[in-house]
Amino acid sequence: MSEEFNWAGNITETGQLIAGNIDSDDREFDQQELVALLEALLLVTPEPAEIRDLAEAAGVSALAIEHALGTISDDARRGWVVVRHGSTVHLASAPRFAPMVRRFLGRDRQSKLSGASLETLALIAYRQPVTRAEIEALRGVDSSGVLATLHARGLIEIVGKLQTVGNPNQYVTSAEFLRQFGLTSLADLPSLEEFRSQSVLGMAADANGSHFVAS
Amino acid sequence: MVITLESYQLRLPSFEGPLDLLLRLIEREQLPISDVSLLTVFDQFMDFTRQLGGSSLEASAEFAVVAGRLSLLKSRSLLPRPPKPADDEEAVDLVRQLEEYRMFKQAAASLAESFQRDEVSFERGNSVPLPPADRLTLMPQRPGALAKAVNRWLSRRQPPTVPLPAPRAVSLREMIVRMASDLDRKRRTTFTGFCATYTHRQEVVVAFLALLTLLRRRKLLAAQGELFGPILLTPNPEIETLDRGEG
Repeated sequence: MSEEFNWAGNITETGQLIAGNIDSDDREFDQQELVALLEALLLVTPEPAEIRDLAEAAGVSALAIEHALGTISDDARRGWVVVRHGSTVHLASAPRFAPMVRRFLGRDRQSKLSGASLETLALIAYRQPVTRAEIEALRGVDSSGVLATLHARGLIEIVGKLQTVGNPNQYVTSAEFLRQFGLTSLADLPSLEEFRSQSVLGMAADANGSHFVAS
Repeated sequence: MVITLESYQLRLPSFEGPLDLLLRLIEREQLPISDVSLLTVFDQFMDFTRQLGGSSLEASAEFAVVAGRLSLLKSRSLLPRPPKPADDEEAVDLVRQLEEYRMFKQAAASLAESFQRDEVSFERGNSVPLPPADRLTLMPQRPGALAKAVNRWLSRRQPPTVPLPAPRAVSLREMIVRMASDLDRKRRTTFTGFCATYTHRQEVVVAFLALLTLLRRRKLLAAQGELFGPILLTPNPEIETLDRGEG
């Protein structure tokens, strides 16, 4: 009888001890081990996993998960990458192996996107979430057909409706967009400022005292 | 001159709208994007919009909007106006929109480059395709080959299977009669010898029960030399015929 009592008591004590460690400090969790655990978790789920769920399973904070994901992304030798889309992450093959993976899967290359599609896609990628009206104001041309094409190819998705007159759809880029362009997250996109400064510099070179240079 | 939308597309296959056209015209003139360059390309843009006129209402409307804005700029530059310290807002707006547009065009070009580099990630859950079915195509066959194959199969066919006879249920009474008559005939036998014709376990059990019954009725004598040894059966000499005396 007394033996059983002791046994139950030990379990409780150990349980409290473990819980206490996790609560007190994330950094107690060995970083390498956390990376390995993340690999295991991402391996077993074919669907994108919520960072929140990964944190709960690992018993660490979402910040610790982000940090560990960063460690994985920094290692360029891996055959896979962790793609970040919204609040989810998932495993995908490393972009540099695209031709071999495609051959392995017996897939053809996707057909090229038209100039209009690329323009619109770039706009959505950098300005998301964005409505059709905003796209058309910038392009100066009707964009409904292009949006339908991009949506059909799974490159963009509707994330919600803007709470204004007409409740227009808000468009964002999809996880498929990231994979198609070999990005692990939107942060991988070159900075838009790069393109802006290029054009301003180009303009300044032959501006000849023009006084309408947009600053 | 009548220009249809088709011929417009044929001549200018890659314009994505009025801003695209305006940008191209400016870049062709190698002019900076400013009010000056906008006015320089004004006539070309208006020409183009006139050519487009009526062929496609939606497309030409978009070009007409930009043409209208350009017309406003041109008219302001032609009419004498009091000098204003602030720059022409309309021109600044159009320049700013063109700037933005050019920026996204370059972003789009960068996306196109990355598409060209073929750096695609593949998601999990893909399956490797089965080998193409054409590896399994048949050699050309004559119709008679099929009949031959059937005949070959018929000649090779196994004889029809015969179901094993179900073990006959031998009653104890019947088994006693059999054992008695067997012993009458042979005068001497072993239990194993008697059971030689009985393959089924149930028959052997009934045979043993018959042996016990005949023993109890003192109609035979049984002897076993050793444990698990053969059981020797002989008729009880006190009784002449075993076969009778039933009951």
